[in-house]
Amino acid sequence: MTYQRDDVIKQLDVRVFGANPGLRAALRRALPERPPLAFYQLTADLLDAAGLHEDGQWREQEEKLLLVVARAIAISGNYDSRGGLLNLSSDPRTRPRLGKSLADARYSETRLLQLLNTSGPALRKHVNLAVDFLAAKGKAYGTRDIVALLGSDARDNQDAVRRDIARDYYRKTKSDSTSQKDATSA
Amino acid sequence: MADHHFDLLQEPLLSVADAAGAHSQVTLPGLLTRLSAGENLEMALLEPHQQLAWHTFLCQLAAIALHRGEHPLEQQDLAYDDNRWRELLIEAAKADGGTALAFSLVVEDLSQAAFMQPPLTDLHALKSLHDLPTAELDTLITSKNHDVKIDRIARPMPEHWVFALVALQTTSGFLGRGNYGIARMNGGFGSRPRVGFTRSHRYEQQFRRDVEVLLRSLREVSPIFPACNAGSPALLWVQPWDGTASAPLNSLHPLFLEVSRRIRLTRRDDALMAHRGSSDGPRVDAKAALGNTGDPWTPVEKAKGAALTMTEQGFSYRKLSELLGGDWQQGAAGELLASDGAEPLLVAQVLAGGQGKTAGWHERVLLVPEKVRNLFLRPEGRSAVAARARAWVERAKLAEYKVFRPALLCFLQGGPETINLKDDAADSAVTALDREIDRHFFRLLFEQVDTPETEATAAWDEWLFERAKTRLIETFRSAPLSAMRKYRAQSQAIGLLYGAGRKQLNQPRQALASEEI
Repeated sequence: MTYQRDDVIKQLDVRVFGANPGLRAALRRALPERPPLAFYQLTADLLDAAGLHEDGQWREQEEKLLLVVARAIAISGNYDSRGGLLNLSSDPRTRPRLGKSLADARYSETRLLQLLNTSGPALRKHVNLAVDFLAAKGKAYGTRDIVALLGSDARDNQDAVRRDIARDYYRKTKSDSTSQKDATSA
Repeated sequence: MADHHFDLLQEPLLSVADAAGAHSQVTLPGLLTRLSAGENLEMALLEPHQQLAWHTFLCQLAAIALHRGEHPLEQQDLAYDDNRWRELLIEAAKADGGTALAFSLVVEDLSQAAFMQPPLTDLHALKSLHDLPTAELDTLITSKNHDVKIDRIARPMPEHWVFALVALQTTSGFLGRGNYGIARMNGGFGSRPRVGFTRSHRYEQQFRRDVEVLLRSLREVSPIFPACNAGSPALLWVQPWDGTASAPLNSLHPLFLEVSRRIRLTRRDDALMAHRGSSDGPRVDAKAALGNTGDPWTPVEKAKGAALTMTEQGFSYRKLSELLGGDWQQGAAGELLASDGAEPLLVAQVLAGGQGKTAGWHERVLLVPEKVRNLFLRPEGRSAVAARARAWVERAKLAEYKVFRPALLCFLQGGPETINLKDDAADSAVTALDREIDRHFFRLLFEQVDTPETEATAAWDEWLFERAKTRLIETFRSAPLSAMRKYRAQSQAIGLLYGAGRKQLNQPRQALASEEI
């Protein structure tokens, strides 16, 4: 059986959105390398069903990735004041891309480069920081790029994924800069 | 008979290797016997840059001898024995006023021709003396001695002199006052190419095929040689040349073997010495012909009536595509015959020249698959392939200069606001891409030859784009760039590549890497 991360993420997305506020709060508070119990409640059976066995070498790595993703979903802010889901039917793939969201939130280029130039535990930490920043600025974001960034770490396609994020970022900053110039000259 | 040495008709001076790699020595008639009988062998001591000269010389000599020996021109069987070939060669020399001595390297009677050495009256008229068949006697101009060394044959055998003489006398260009070039090239700084189809890599197959083609070409009267017959001057080294008179081109046999230099070999102890002199003009008066001498292996540009001159670019895919087209009239060897087999080869060779320099030995052999060969046998089929080749060359140019180069410059310049397109930083990478295209062009062209035009163009465009993208991404890994600008430069460059790819090569939008995970 081949592990399909995309399927697991889709199910995780639904579960986090459908989870009680307490569980989501536990995820939001989670430290990068220390998963709370709530995380295992959401993911243990998912991973078992997806074929990643508990004693397999990939299980722990995948759990680290999923913890960051679950936290990002929990923080993403698509809830009403009572914690109910605002947009259950929102397709994650149509949500704003990470690079664009970061540019919208005026995330500095230096911090973007730190995010793109790291790997391993440092990458997970920088993703958490970026997600916190976006949430603080009230900017929506999709998790697809986050999953791609974490999933491609130390793999052949890691540069391609980072280029995509950079492209979205620079395209937005350039477009904003052009709009500003047009507004000023008018 | 005068004293003579190193007689090619009688002495086994030529080294050959058979299919098993075993070496032996043969006479010139012996070589012709074995080749015409279909024996798989090759010349063991021939240098690469001498291949063209030796092949054309041998084919022309054989064809002239057969023509003069009243061999039926349509008869494909050339299998004569040593004695018959010897007779044919001697008769060929006699027809030009010579004797059997014309095939000896050294003939002490200067009034008699020696091999590739015209008769003369006074040896002292030849001022330069050489003890090696290289350096000034070589068609390779190796003044800086960086690559192929000048004095690379320390103890030359007679055979080395044979090949050097043949190459010098039949392929030299203009090398300054007194050293005029051959008639079979366009101008003194041109080149004498060999472009033709053949049946096989095997040398004896190429020899037999080309001799057959040469004989066939004699069946019709050439407009360049309207009054020629078997007795027209052919072995020009046999006839006296005082260095002043030039023979009119149209008075010669169509397959004439010319000499461009006044040279004479003498023997000193066991070594050979070459006495070389200058001339006041070329051996053949053909300046107006622009190299268009009806040479069987030389394409002629129809519009200008001028022979092909090759440059250091060699037989690139661009050049060969151009030569396939209707702008060029092929020589007799460049016309495909049904007897060339189901999968003939196209052979293109040249020692490219220039003013006082060599621009490299270039050789290319293309396998022509059966489906392409069937098209080439029909003029309209060949035109169709040539037209597609030309269109593909244009697409390649778009890919290199409108798609790849701007994207690469964007990256190398760190993703600037405005790309400096005059920057030459990308030139070596564009050249590398062009070389890659060159390696695959004809394979892909021939694979797609029976695919409809739109589909074939789409496939070619996609291949070009993928190669450009791969090379761009390879540069991302290898080129130095500050970490601060790395992703900005890369993302902009990739975006530019895809944008240009959509516009110029009809490529789809960029797929995001995240969508492929």
